[in-house]
Amino acid sequence: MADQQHLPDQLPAAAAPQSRTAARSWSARVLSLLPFLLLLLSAGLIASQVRRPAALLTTWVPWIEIATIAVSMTPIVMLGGIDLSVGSAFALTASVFAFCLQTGTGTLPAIAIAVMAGTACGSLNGTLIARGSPPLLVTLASMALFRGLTMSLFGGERILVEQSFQLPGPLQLRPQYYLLLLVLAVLQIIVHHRVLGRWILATGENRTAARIAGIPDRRVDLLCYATCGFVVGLVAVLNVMQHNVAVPDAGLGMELQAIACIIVGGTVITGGRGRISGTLLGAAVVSSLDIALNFLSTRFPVISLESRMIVTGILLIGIAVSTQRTAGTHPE
Amino acid sequence: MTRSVSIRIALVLCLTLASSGCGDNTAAQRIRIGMLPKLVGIGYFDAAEKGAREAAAELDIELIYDGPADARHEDQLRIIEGWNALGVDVVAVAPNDPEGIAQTLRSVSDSGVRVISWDTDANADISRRSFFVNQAEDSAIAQGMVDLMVAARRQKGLPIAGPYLIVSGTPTASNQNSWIRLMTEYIADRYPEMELLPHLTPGEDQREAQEQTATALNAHAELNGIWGITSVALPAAARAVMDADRTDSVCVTGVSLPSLMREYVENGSVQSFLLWDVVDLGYLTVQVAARLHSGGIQPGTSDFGRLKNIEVRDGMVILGPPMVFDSDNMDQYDF
Amino acid sequence: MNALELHQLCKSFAGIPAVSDVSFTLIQGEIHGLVGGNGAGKSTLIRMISGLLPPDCGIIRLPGSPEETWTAHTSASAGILTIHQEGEFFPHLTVAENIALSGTFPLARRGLIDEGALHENAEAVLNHLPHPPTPDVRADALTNATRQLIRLAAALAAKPSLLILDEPTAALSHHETNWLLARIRELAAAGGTVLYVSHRLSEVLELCDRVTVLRDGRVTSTQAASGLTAAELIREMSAVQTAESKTQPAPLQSQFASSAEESSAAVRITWPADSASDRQHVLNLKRGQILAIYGLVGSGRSSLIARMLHLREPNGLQVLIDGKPLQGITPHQRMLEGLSVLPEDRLTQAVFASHDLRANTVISAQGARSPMAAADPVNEYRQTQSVIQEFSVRCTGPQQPMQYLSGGNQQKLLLGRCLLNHPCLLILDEPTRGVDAAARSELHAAIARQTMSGTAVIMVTSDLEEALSCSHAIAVLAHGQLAGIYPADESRRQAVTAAAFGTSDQSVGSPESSTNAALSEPVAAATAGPAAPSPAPEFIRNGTRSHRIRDIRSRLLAFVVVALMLLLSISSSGFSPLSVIDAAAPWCILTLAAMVVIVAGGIDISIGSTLAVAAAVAAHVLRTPLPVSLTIPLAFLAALTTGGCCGLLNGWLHTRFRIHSIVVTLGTLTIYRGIVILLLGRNAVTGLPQQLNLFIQHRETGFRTGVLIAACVCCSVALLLRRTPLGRFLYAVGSSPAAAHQCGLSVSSVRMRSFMLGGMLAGLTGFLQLASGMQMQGTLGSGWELTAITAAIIGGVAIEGGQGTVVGAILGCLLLRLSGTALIHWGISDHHLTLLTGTMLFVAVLTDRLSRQGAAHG
Repeated sequence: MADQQHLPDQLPAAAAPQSRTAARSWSARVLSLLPFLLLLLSAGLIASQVRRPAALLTTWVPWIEIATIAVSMTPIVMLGGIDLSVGSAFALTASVFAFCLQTGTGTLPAIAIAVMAGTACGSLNGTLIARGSPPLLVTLASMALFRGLTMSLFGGERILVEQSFQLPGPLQLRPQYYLLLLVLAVLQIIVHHRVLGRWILATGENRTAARIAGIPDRRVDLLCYATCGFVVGLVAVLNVMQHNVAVPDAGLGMELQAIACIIVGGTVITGGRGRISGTLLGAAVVSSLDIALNFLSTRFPVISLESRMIVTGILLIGIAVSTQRTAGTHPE
Repeated sequence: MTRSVSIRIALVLCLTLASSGCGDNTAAQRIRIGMLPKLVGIGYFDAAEKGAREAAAELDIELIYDGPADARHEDQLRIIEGWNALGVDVVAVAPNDPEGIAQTLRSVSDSGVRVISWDTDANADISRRSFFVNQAEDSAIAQGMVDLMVAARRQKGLPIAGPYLIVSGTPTASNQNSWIRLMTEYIADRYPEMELLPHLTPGEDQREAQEQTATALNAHAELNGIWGITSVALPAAARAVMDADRTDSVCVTGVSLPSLMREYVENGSVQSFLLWDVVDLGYLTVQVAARLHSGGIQPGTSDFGRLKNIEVRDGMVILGPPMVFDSDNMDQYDF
Repeated sequence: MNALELHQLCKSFAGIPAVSDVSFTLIQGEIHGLVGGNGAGKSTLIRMISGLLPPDCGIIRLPGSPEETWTAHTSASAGILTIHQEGEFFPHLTVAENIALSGTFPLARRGLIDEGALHENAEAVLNHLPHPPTPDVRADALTNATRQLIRLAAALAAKPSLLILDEPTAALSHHETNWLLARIRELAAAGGTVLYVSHRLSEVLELCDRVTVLRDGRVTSTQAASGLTAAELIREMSAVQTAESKTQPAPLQSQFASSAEESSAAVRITWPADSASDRQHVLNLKRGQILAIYGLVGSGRSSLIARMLHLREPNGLQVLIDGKPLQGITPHQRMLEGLSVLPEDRLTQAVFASHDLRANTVISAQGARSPMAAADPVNEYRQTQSVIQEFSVRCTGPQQPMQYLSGGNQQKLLLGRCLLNHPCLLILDEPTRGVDAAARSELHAAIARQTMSGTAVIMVTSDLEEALSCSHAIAVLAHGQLAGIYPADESRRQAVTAAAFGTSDQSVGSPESSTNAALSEPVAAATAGPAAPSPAPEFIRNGTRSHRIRDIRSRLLAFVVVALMLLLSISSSGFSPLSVIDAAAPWCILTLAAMVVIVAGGIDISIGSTLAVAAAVAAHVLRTPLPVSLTIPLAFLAALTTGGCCGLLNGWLHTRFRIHSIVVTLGTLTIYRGIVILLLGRNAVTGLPQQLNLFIQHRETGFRTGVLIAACVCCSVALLLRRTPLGRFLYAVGSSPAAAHQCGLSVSSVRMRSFMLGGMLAGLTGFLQLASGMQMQGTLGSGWELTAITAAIIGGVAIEGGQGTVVGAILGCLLLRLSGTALIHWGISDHHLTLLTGTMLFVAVLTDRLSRQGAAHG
């Protein structure tokens, strides 16, 4: 005699496990395929307009940077948190790096200092959040703080770097590509094949339960936010090496773009579920869509800036709707 | 089942689209010029677009005019990189950050694209841009603005000596910054009794400009005059002065569009201001781009389309001397 | 004369019947008891009577009324009121507001809340309580017991025609229980009917006129209570079950140590009896022993467990395993030292609902491993499979999501999880709560088996039967003190129950405690420790420390603003506070727009784009060739409407599709900005009628009209939030959506309205901006949402919702504006403004942390 009184409010949802797939309507299925479809469509559009395919590799570099940051932010979102300060941390570490180089520090020490600065930014977030402050509040504050530090410490000026760095790498790919691959590989292993990943997902799903079950949830917080800061530092270093300049208003809006990549990739913003590879897909979709629409607008001026923005916003919401719909069927 | 069907349909679409583009490449191609303003959606750059399109139609070339929604240089980078892949032949950019964009311009020009700047210059050495289409000599603009202010003060019978304020745009805009520098030098040289306060940089935000000017008016009770040196800052400054009821004691001038300044000139809060034919600037930019691609540009004086006697020197193509706009001639222009 | 008739009700969930063929009638003026074991169908039945659950078949009917579908509405209009076991409440609202929200809001004229009536209403309810709190106290400052009492008092005061009480005395002390029973008798005497559902059989027998017994979803009997004994009831409730045979613990004979000097105990727990003396309470356990901790609710069991796990300050409590005290200060560290806990409320404290069984099973084991160790899915699968088999978990396999398992099976799996780590000490908190009888006996068997592997088990339970049958010894807690330790023998039944009540034994032979003793004067206990008096109402806990911190913070904010203004006036001759207020006016409205949404629990990052859309629409209206006296008001309305529509769209997307508001507004931010550029058509907006600006700028009595409008709006919003029901609903929903749901408040509708209001305020800002600048470009408002949210937070609005004042928000906005102004006046570069803003936000973070800590200690 089964007990029916255990989940009174959740019962209607839990009551029909076998009819789950049948219950997903046609529209829900289309919506869940939307990212793939968009990706393919955009790829086709880009391919149809491009005349210098080799230059596409450099076209994607700014998006690769955003993708790297989004991927490193994914564990945070899986944890049920959020980090609005990545853009400002990016600007701060870039300025620190450029400043070090400008004042004569060697390249490697400068890189080390910049990366440490990035990790410090992430650790500040992680420490406060581990102690119980809401992530939205903390990262809103650190967003302003880091940006403020960038402006105040360096006088709101851009910092020029004299040295030029030749880092083409094999296959003529910019180093940002390799960084993305590295970060992707490391995080994929950690989140999906290491115990820490299990900890992250458990903490995101139900923090109290995770804590009582013996997961060191505070350590997990600190690790995730610090790692994100670390990666942001690396990305900023590569960016400065490419452009030879650190700009005080770098990274504005980067956090929102990263969140968009994560959402389109299927990770739920409330945490407990998600895939690292999903964020890569999300970044691919967002970037190709942007580039494809830009290309299209050169052919069809009616696809102007405003319509591109409207379309992007609608697609984001559409994909968010579908992410919510699939909640509860695939935990990991 | 639906999933695989949809993916198959999408793949087919994708390949169709991809192959459709290939046909284009074999046809005789027009020159493709990509023109990038600082941002889209303010009157100044909309006017430039008009002139650019006019030139493009005249020369039968393909013009792509696009820009970011906010004056951010990262967005400009993305657009330029995209154009490179798209296969534009010439890139004409008004950079938000002349240093930040330099490396990108250089790498783009390394892959065979010609690069020119307009309205604001990029770092010439690093970016290897071919030319800078300048609306007027920086010194002419700077001195012109100072002279206008002096004239306005004299006309109202007010003394020249005293504090003055410059309201600029974004802190990194190099054209504004070089005007400020030249104005400072000119004033130090010619009108040392004019005292320049630290300038304001409210960005391209009209509300911010208005508020900061209003605050500055409060902070300095004897302010003599305000220069608004962007098309957004000047009307904002004029309005702030109007709101503070100090049009009699504070003279306002600078650089902006007639359409935005009409009201202020009519009610007398602004006597005259400086500009150039923005439409012509856009027109000239496209002409320069086209000529650069098809042959080259020699220093000296030459004609570009309907614009005659344009001076080319020191890597600059100069539209002409700045124009003074006042109530007499404003109505002749519709930008 | 019948109060309610139930005819052949039945209800099934997923094909499994919860209630079958239930029929009985409630006679008006009677107190009717409803008893049954776990899984008997009591809560399903109650929910059907309250109209929350439609029956699959059968009729619920008021005598004399026509048959109609029974909904929550029909139930409410029939005067049926239900008080559940665990009620939700709104922590940030006052007691008076909590009471009012669970009933109806007393309205006075014109839709405003009548504060006086609210207060009186609350006092009328509260005065009946033994130790009434004041109505203005915030609800989170009270203890659970007090809140439950208030709930009950409010229900009684509403004089319902039928009052349903589900386990009402679970959280109450016996004084409070006395009080409740007396009130119930009063209600019945006045003609009301009471349906009393409880596990406490002696209470039921004492109080009720008739008793209905449910077993397996069916009524086995309805009879008069007099003449019934608890033993008979139990027999009836449990007849057909898989024989609840006394599970004999493994034959490690209970040489449990009762003397404090026993040092061969494997596990030893000591804690100070009271702060004054040096007396220590001691619990000793050998390996393989099961110690039950028995006590009524309020005896301090949960706090004891929390202290053992270091979820709470131990305050001198020590756990020694094999003679070594545990050092860990987090549950993780304690687990590594050999402690494992199965918590009481599995849904919120143990279950990972959407994860699969595999993840749920191995998670504790994984907590013990190194974070960089490889996760081995094959091994995990195997471990889960073996747990499933060993504990007879009924499921489709390790990949099934946890939420589809029944409570009993979940609990079995969770037990398996705890044991995977081979803990030295296993603590089970109410292991068979909410578990059906079959699973219950399986759990007991499993627990008994564990003792063979040498685990020491502490089982906290409020079920004496369980304590007696499944443990070696029972430690009785009463009033926070250890009242005695007894061998788990049937012969000690009465002693145990007496000890739990702090009385000497007076047995009625009932398995539960002799509540008869509770109802009469408490007799001083002979064997137990000193009978502590009914604990003084510590309802003003340290929770008010958090209120003090918030108070200090808001005063500090006001002080800083005023100080800054003074400083500026002194140091700079041109400064006038008026000019700052002039400039700040539209920003204040935008801050309020952000605040209204945040208070209700959402967040809107699209208000910058919304204001631009509204301004663009207004600009279009203003440029139509109609007379100015028409276009200006029309444009005003157009701006408000556009803003409201934008907000409404946000709210709809958020509530209809249950998407987090930050994601929704991230999308609409882009959409609205695109619409702005579309509407503007790449032309700068010029040629607006001058009268618009003149009107806004015109100085009347020293203030510009624009400022006066802004002031009016701020006052109206403040009025709305403080004095109208909608305002209270906004705070309520932000404070606790769960409680709102329980009160019948529609969270969706309230959130939608908050978004719409925020949108309207943003639209107004756009209009004002257009009027003061007489110009507009596509980038209007870009980035302003962050400034508005920042100002709101600096002003004390809590980002999770439920807290914040209009005054605070305005002060926050003023502070931001003043900082910018100060920099210009003092000639400091405005680069430093962002750093200043960041510092102010960090102060907000610190304040938030301090107030959290203040609330947590208690």
